[in-house]
Amino acid sequence: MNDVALALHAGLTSSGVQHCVYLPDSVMNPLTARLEADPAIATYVCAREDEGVAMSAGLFLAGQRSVAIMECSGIGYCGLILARCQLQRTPVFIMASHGGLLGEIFDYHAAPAAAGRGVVAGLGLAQLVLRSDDDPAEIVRLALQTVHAQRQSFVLFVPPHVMKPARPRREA
Amino acid sequence: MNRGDVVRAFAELRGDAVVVMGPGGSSGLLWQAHPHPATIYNMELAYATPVALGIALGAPERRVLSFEGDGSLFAATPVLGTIARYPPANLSVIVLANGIWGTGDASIATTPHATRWPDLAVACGWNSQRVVIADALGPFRDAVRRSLSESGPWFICAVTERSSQDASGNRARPSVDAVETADLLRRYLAEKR
Repeated sequence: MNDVALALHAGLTSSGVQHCVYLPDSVMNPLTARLEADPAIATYVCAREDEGVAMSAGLFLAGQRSVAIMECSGIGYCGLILARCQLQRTPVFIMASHGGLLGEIFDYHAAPAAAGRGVVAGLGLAQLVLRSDDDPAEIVRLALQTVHAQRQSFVLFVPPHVMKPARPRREA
Repeated sequence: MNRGDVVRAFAELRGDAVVVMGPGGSSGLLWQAHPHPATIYNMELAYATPVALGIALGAPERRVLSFEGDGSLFAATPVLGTIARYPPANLSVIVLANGIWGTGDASIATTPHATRWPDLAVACGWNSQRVVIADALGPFRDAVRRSLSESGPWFICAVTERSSQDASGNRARPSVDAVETADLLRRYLAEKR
């Protein structure tokens, strides 16, 4: 059980998301595992993150709500397709691990974070880094509201220290 | 057969199917032959087929085709594995294999060789019964007809001669831009739901 994954899942469901395109990632795994187990959401494992973003744009054109989930490095591959999505107003909602500045423990996550943040900043995409004291379900609901009302892509970064396991309950 | 022959034959057969065209000369030729709102023209290199896959998954009641050159599809080769993993019955992928990158003076050969595309699709997990190679208009038309009426996904490789239409400066161009083409398709699909 992971409280944050549960809340993110609830936010997606309450916003009408019925499709999830993702590439497996250790941080986002608690969420994608929940989505895989949810019969109301169709999940697709893509081969590359930019391919997944293109699929998500296609789902939007077909009138469907979707989320693309990936490691932050994947956004680094997505510059061209995200630029096209912005231009033609076929928005994509991305949830990506890392991307924040706090709590990183591996040197090899520095380049993925730099690539992802660089693409998001370069294209001027709406973005937010989820914080430990945020309400994840409400953040997702509001982000998707912006995505579909303003037809612009949105990246929600989920740092590793935020996607943490639930604390064990204390005995009464 | 050359690029123009293939695109015109395709335009005659597509009906109201959704089409996502790759970048390059084929987009303008399709526009000239038969403009249709259910079409995205000049999708970025490597993304025509992934976008078509998304539409096919989201609109299973519609026939959806991607149409791109071998240079563009080779950049998108991983999507062949994704389609094999989640095979939409309503999706067809058409690769126009003229063996060159259709840019500049169109003199640089692509990889793989045009006739090896079916092998690549089957190696990625496609049903070989729905993987077709056509080097003449008759078999190409037959394959497109089958892909529009029978369960897919279908992979159709149209092997063409090189032609003057392949070079950058000789391209026909659609009269709708990237913004208009996406909005026309989105509205078209919304009205048909």
